[in-house]
Amino acid sequence: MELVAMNNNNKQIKALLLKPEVGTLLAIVVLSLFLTVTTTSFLTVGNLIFVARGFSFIAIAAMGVCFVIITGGIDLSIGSVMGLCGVLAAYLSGLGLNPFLVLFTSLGVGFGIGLLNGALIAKIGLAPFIVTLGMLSIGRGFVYVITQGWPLQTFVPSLLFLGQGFFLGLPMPVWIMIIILIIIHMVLKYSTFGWYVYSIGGNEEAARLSGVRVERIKMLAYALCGLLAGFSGILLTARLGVGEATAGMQYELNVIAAAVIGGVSLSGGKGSAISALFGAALMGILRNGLVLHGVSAFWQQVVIGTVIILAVLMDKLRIMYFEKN
Amino acid sequence: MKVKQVIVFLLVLCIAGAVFAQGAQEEDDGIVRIVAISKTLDNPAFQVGEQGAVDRANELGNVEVEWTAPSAADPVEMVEMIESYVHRGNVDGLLVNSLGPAVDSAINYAMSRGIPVVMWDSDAPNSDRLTYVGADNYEGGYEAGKLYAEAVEGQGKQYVAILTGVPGAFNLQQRSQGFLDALDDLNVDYEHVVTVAGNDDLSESVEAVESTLRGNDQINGFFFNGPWPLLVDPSNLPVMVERIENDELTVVSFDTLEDQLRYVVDDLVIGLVGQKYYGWGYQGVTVLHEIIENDAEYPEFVNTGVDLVTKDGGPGRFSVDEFYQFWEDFSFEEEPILP
Repeated sequence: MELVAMNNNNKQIKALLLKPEVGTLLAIVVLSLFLTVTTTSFLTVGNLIFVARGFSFIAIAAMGVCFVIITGGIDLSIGSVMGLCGVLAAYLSGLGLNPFLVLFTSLGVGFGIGLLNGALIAKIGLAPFIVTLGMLSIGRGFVYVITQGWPLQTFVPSLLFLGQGFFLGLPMPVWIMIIILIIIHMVLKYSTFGWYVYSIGGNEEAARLSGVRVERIKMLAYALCGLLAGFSGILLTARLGVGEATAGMQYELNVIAAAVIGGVSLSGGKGSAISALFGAALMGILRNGLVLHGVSAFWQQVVIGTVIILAVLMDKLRIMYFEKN
Repeated sequence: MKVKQVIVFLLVLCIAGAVFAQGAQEEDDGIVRIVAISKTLDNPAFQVGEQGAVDRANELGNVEVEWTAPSAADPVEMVEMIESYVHRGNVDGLLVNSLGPAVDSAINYAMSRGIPVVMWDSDAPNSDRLTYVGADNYEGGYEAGKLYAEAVEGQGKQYVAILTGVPGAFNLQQRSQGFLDALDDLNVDYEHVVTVAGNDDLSESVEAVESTLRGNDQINGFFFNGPWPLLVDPSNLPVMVERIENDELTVVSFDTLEDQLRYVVDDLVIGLVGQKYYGWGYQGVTVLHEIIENDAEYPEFVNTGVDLVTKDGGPGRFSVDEFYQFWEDFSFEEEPILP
C-alpha cells in the first residue's frame, strides 16, 4: 500500500518537475535565497516592490509574445511598438484628449501593427523574422516622427496613475501584470483559441488539415502580441512620466529572452504565460542582485548573458534527465 | 517526504537570511561612499571622469567611489539602478549623468530617501537634484562658433551644416544653439542648411557627414556637436577630407578626445571645444563630499568650464601638443571648487 502511494507521489512530483515553469521558479528561489543571505537589503519590502515593478513591463510584453512564439513565429517589433504606443499616448495626452480615448487609440495602434504583421506573415506567407524586423524600423521611425526627438512630458493624470500609482501597497503595473497573467492563462489553457495556438505550433499542417483556420489564429496571435507590447509601452511611459524617442529600444531582445528563459520553446508548441512571467522575474531579480552586490558594470552583462544560457541549458538537461528515467 | 523536507529547509534558510540581514546593519565607519552612475562605460571621456573622481577621493582620504553604468544607454535601466542603490543602503551620495527626463523620478526618489544627488555632464533640471557639475553646453557651442567665425573671416557667405547625435538630446541642442548664436553675434553671413543625426553611432555619423556633403556642393561649413566622425581614421571621410584640402570646407567639432586631435594636427579641423572630462569626476566628488560632510550649499550650476584646442594654442587655448600630453599621462588638472 505504502509503496503504491509513494509511487504515485513520485509520479506527481515527476510530472511537476517536468513543467518548464518549475525549473525557472527553482532558479528564482535559489537566486533569491542567495541574495537574502548575502545582502542586507534584498529581502526588504521596498526593494522587492521596486524589483517587481521593474520587471512587470517586460513580463507583460513577454506574455504577449508567448502567443506568437507558441505558434512557431517570432516578433522583433516589440520594442518599437512599446516605444510607439507609449509616445503616442504621451502625444495624444498633450492634445488634451480624454484619457480613455488616449488609452484605446494607443492600444489600437499596437493591435493594428500586430495585425498587419500577422496578415503579412499568415496571409502572404512572408517570413516572420523579416516582416517584424521591418516593422521594428517603421515603428521606431514613427516614434521619431511624433517626438521629433524631443521628450514629450505631458501625460493625462489618470494614465500616469496606471504607471506610477499604488493600490493596496503594490504598484499598479504589478497589479496589471497579475490580471493579464490570469486572463492569458485562462485563454491559453481553456479556450479553443488557446488550443489552436498550441496545435499550430505543434504541427501547422496537421492543424490546418483538422480544420483549424490557421491564418486567422496566427493573425490574432500577432495582434495580441502587438496589443500587449503597446500596453506595456504605455505603462512604461506613464511610469517614467515622459515619452522618449528611445523608449523600449532593443527591448524585443529582453522580452523574447524572458519568454524563452521561462520555458517558451522557440520551436513552437510549448510554453505558458506563467513561464514568461517567471523568465522576466528571474532577469529582474538578477539585475537587482548585481547592483546590490556592487558587481562591476563591465561584468554585469557577462553575468546576465551567462545566466540566460545556463537557464536554457538547465531546462534542457532537466528534460533529458526525466525522459531518460 | 523529501519534497517537504526541502521546502522546510528552504524556509528555514529564508528566515535565517532575513534575521542575519537585520543583524548585519551597517555601522558608521566614517567613510563617505559615493556611487557615480555614468551613461555608458565605453566612452573614453567618462573614463577620464572616473580617473578624476578616484583621484579626488584619494586626496580626500575618507571617500570611496563606486563607478558604474547601465549596460545599454536606456533610461529605464538607469532608473532601476538608482532605485537598487537606494535600497542597498550604504550609499551616502549619488553622482548621476542623466539619460533624460525619464530618470527624474528616480532622482527624486533618492532625494526623498535622504540620499543627496548631484548631476554631472548631463543635467536633470526639473528633478529635485541638488546641483549640476559640468560645462555649459551653450557656452561650449558659442566658443566653437567663435572659432569658426575667426577662421572664415572674409570668406563670403557660409552654408553651414550641423551633425548631431540622437536627435533631441538637450545638451546637443544647446551646443548647436550656442554655435549659431555666436555666428549671429559676430555678424557672420551664413545660412544653416541642415542638421543631420548620426544617432551617437560612429559609422552612422560618418555616413551622415559624407552623404550630406556629397548631396550638397554648396555646404562650406560643418559643426559636429559631438566627436563621432573624428574618432575614425580620416580615410573613412574621403569627401570631407577632399573638400577641406581644396579649401572648400571649414570644420569645427565639439569634444577634445585623444582620437580627434590628429585631425587638428593634420589641419583638417580648425579647432576643438570640449568639456573638462576630468572635472566631471574631480569636481563631482568635491561638491558631493562638501554637501555630505559639511552641508555645503552650491548654486544650481557648478560650471567646470570648457577646454579649447587649436593647432598652435594661444591665450585661453591649449595647443594640440599640450593636449596630447594630457591624454598621454592623464595629467589633467583641476582645482577643487569649494562652496
